[in-house]
Amino acid sequence: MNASDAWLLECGEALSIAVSDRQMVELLQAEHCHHVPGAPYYCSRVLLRNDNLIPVMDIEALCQGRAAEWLDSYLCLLNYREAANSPLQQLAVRVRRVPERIQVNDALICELPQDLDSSLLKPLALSCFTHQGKPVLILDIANLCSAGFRDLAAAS
Amino acid sequence: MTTGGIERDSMVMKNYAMLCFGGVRLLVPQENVATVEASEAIERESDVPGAVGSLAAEGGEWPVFVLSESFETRANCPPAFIFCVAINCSDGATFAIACDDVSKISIANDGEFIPLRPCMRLPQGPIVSMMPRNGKLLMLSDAQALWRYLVRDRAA
Repeated sequence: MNASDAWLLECGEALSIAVSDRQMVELLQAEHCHHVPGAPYYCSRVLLRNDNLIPVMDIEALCQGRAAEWLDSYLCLLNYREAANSPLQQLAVRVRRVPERIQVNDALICELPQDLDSSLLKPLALSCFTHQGKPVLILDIANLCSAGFRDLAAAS
Repeated sequence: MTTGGIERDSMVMKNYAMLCFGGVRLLVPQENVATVEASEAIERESDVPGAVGSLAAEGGEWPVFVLSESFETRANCPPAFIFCVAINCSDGATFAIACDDVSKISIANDGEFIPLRPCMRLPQGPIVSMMPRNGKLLMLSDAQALWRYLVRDRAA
């Protein structure tokens, strides 16, 4: 049975995603980001870091289809690549609490939750597993950051 | 001539008007700025939806918009917004933005601006890139993008 370590990110009420060690970079305070007028409601802030503007993604807002309140939030800085050999890029994801380190194995894999059918998260979901009886999504981060997904979300 | 001198000679300086309202620092190319007037010159209601009034200047009428820090149009012009910056678009549209301060800023090479990542750039977004300076993020727009944003939900 394949087992691996992962980080559990609680993005909202009953909404968690998992990322790998390679993706996880750092946990940051949320108050350091800046609002960007006219940006999509789920990605309307940036983090300025080492002369880079890093988009801040609010998965909870994306799931709800509207902006969410930022109470007691942190930011998880993640690495991703658009393609296998493309340069590393970074994204910050808003989380509600400090990420938890968990172990994932094949036996935990489950179907995508049915309530995801009408959500913008569905086209991003690569797979799903259960942790303490709750579904945890593994998302395609590169797709989440793509212009294609932006257009899909804007049209919905 | 030193290498530094050559680099300086090859720099292309571009002038921008920096409009300040609340914590926002909005840059618009100086070439699009027709005039700066006192907000006291706002005369009457404008026919343009979202505008707080109209400014008569330079032989033209300029619908005046007042923006919040999140770039929502405001219904009134606060007393602190003492300036009106009249802006020309390349397609002939004209409008003015009220602000509490305006100054000219010269920036060497547009390369100092950091473009917004695709996931943050909506077609009607007013911001195209940003630049950190003195702990603030300067937001670069252009006349056409600002106008499109201001009238985005009001097209006939």
